[in-house]
Amino acid sequence: MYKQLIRYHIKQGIWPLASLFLLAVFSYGFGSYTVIDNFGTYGGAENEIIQSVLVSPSFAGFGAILMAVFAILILGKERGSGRSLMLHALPVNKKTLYWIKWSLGVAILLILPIIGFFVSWLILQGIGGIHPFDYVSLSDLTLDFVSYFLFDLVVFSIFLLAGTIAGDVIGQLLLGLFFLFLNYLTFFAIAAITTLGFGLADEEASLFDFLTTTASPFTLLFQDEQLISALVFNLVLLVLLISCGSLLYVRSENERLGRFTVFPKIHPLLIIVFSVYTTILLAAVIGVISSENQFLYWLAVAILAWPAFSSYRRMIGWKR
Amino acid sequence: MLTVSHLTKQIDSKMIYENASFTLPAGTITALIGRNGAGKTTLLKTLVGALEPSRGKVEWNQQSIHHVPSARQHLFLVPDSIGVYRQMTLGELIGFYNAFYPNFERTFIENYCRSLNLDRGRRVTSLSKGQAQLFLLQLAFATNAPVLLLDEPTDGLDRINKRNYLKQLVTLLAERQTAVLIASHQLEELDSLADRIMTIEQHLVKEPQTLEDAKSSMQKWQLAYETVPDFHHNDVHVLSQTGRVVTLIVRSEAGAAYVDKTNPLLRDVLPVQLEDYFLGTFGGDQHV
Amino acid sequence: MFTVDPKSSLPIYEQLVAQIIRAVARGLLRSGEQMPSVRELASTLLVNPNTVSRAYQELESRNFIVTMRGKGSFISDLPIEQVKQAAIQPHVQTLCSVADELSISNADLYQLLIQTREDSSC
Repeated sequence: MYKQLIRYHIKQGIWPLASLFLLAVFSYGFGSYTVIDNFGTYGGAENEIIQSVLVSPSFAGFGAILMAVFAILILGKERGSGRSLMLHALPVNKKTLYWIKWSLGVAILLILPIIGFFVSWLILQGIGGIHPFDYVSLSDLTLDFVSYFLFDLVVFSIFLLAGTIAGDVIGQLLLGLFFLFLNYLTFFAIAAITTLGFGLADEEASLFDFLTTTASPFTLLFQDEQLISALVFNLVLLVLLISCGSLLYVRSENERLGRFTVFPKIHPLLIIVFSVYTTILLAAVIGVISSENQFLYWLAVAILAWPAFSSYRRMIGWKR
Repeated sequence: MLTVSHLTKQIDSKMIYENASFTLPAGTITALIGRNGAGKTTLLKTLVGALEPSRGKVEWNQQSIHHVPSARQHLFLVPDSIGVYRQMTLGELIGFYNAFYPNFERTFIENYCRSLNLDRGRRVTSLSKGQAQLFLLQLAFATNAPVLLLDEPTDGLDRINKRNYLKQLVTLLAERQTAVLIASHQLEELDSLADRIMTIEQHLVKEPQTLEDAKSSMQKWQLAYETVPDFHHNDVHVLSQTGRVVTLIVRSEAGAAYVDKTNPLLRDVLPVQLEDYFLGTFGGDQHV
Repeated sequence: MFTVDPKSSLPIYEQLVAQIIRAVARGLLRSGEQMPSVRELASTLLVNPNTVSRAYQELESRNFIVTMRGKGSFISDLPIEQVKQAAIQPHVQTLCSVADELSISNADLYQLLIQTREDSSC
């Protein structure tokens, strides 16, 4: 039974999965060869180079994109095309379906990097005669591994959650991107209101810096400072994402009553949220262009608010 | 036996169907009829567990099929579009359902494919509409589910494929005691196939009646007049008028009395077909 | 051998009963001969198997057929005159109903009957 479901999902997402495999081959396999070839030229940077080929950030980074695509194929595409009817009519707990989708993601994100690690080690040591542990420590490697794994998993879970709310590919893509960059969007929105709207100095806005560091999954990939706090935050976020996702997967209605819409079934609340962000940020653009005039900023907000709201409303066909 | 009680489905503020209460006894064919968009497909999807109801329950032997997933082994829905199975091959479909339905008869469906030279590596969507529908019917019976739900099974099939399909349906049905619920617009075939009729009128799901009871709840009269009067009564529905002769459906005593008062010159009682029943029920000024 | 007309005012099972009786009266089905199974007849006529069962049950209650479990249904051993009478009975009924409707007297009806038979027979 599970075998069938797993095979079904792998077949659904075969393109991103195959690409992930190729990505692994490049990042780890070819990466190791490159390291061996250029070994003499690194001049002191050997530690970072070797670390990055044993636990590859490029795999994690590009892999996140592919995992997002995978999430879209196994959810949004399935629902949008009506194929979910077949799965949901089965004598299987619907929550199980969600967990299978999620677990596949976890499995891929564990298996490929682990195999990649050993392949790189084998190539470095077996072919290049380089002993990696002369240059890197196990604890560093573990920290990197966990950070990259958590990063990819959070991205995957975000898109999976987006898929439980939206009912098709485009809805899932847009909602997923919104959630993914929510912290940055919020930061800029707050900055816009405080500096452009209220004319406060930049330092006040820095109170919210954590939004771009701790609260961002991207910290796991790029930064060294605040890594631990970012790890904790994203772990909590992950738990939140998968619990909401598993609940919404079962609950969300995704029949579209015969209407095609970009955001098939999103609660009015989300529309309001979109409108607020769009208004604030678009107005910020205008505010910046008009040399940070407070009055103009609020005028822009007032003018943009209704059109933003009503265009989102029209997009989902929401009529009062 | 499948028991449905007070099943209601609402999406946002739109009522799709409400208060469906019925059973599907073994060995019977129940026809679900209603106008386009009346909610037939949504009802079928709720019955099979793909949609959660807003109210009410669907039970197999007192187990709710929405709360106990394994109870869904007793149901199978053949959807109205093979797009649901896009990209799956015949063999994959067989293997898939074989894993989920404990009484699946693999040899039955494989023999069927062999007898028709259907390569199991072919995609379902590469089959012609007639072939695909027939295959899905056989697959449905291969699951040995005691309840089969068919959504517009013969829609769009040419005459020959339709006959073939119905023939196989009847044959398979005569061999097993499957309960079948067919949502269909093909009233002519349902007339000779259905044991019972269930209608969705204005989102209300009516209790099933036997075909005979349904037909006898109405009368079809052919009346001749000097001058044909206008008929304005809820329970009187005019089917056609040629010259001084009018054919109409009368749905109640009150309607009959109303027509009697118009003093027709001649009256013939004609047999009520399912199509007449449909027109009599859904015609008139009400929408869906 | 059998056809059903869903447009008729007679329920399908009654049509089948009438046709089977007529077939026996004409000698198309002989006593002792096996009837097609419910499955066969239902799939040939594209009719609900329950309808065919009902027809067979009716025929059995009127002693035209005998059903033996596991073996099938067989034409029973009724005298042919009785069967012929049963076969023509529904037509006579129809004739009488139309005659009533058109207010034709028994005498006129009888005349018409004899006339038509003489004209049509060789």
